[in-house]
Amino acid sequence: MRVANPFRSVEYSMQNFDMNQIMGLSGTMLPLSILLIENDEDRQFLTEQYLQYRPLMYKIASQFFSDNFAEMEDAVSSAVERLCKKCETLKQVECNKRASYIVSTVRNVCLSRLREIGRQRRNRDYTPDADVVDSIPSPEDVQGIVFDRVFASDLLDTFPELSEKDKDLIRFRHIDLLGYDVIAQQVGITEIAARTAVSRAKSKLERLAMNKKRVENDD
Amino acid sequence: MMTDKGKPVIPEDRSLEDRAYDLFGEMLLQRETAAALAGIEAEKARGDTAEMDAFFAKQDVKNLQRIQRHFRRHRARVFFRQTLPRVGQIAAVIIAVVAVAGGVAIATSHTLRVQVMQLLVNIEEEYTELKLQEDPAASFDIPAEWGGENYPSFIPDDLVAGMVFSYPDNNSVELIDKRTGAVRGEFSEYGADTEANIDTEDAVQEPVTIGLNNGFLVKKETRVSLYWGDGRKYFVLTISDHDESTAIRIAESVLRIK
Repeated sequence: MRVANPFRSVEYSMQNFDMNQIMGLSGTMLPLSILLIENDEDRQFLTEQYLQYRPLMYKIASQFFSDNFAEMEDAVSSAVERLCKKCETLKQVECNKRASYIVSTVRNVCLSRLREIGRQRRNRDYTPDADVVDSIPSPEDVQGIVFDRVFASDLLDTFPELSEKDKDLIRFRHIDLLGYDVIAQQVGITEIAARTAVSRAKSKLERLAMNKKRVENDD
Repeated sequence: MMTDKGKPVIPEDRSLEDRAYDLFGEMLLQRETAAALAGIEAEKARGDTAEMDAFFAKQDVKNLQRIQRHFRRHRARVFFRQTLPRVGQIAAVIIAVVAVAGGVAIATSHTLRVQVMQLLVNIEEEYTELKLQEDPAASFDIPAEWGGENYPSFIPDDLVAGMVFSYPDNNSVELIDKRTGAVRGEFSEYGADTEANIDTEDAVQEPVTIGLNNGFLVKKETRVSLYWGDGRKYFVLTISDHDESTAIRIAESVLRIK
């Protein structure tokens, strides 16, 4: 049986159908053609994460740049860029922790930007308060050391009672993982003062939590 | 942070107490994130999202393009830094094997080879055997940059593919005179979103059939133009100093390659 190809004038003696079937690309480019197939998974993943969490990114950026939309736009865009670079890491983060990872990323971008533009969070005074020094429990407070046990949940519940200044200091050190030199630059104090301020913020947190626990136990 | 042996290492500036508080920081971050998400849901419930909506109406396109650009660049980087060197080794083996076995011509680095297969049917008494086999005479080269879905499998011997212009739904290749380097023609493939114009002033137009598709042939001075469509794309072929039959042969040789 012979079938003429309507596009070509050659006929074959063998029994065949000329189907103009393209099997692919061959020669030196065969591996390349396969490898050039676009893998969209990462891009799709990042796009989905962006669309899902963009309100959160906006909210965090607005906490730093509430009066400056241009800075907020740059912050969100930079955060997106950073998330693209960390796509593999983000994919490995558990789903229920991805939001926190994204918040942390946006915070880092915002803090970096604040340092770049030399703007410090001077709406607060970060120098140590004199009266705080006297109220920090001393090592001689044996009862407190031996009998009081403050758990992380107690600290978490007490955290909102801290001043905004002390909250910032603890966030900088233990959420953003900044060094004392960077914290000092961020808030406009010396490095030594930054160390002292962070330490006192944590001590105050522990003291408040312990006092709260004592009151609850007494009740 | 772990050493090579898997043992934990305390970073220089973070004490044990710091690390304990870092864990607290993680818990705090999760709690504050949950509070932020709850705040967002509350704002949505109140319908209080005008400012944010306006923000993203402006930002979404930019940020989504940013994501696309990043992964396109990343893919190219990986391809050139990792894949290509490995493929170069594989390609060397393939070339050696093919050179020994013979049969398939190896294309230059600027072209891709398109194999055209034909179906072989061997009818026996109790069964019919089917298989695909390359038709070497029908296989052809295309420019590596060609982004269209179709390409002519026949180009006259005196012409060669030249500059390629690839845009979404608009792909063209110049046909160059091998001897003089002059542009003698152009083949273009267009999609639904593209408009094209052909100079038909003082020209002779007549309907033609290209394969199974209707088209038109335009003759003006020494130039022959053909335009036709296949239901998905439409094509324009322009060629100078060649007769109508050659132009029709080029047009009829256009094959789907993607």
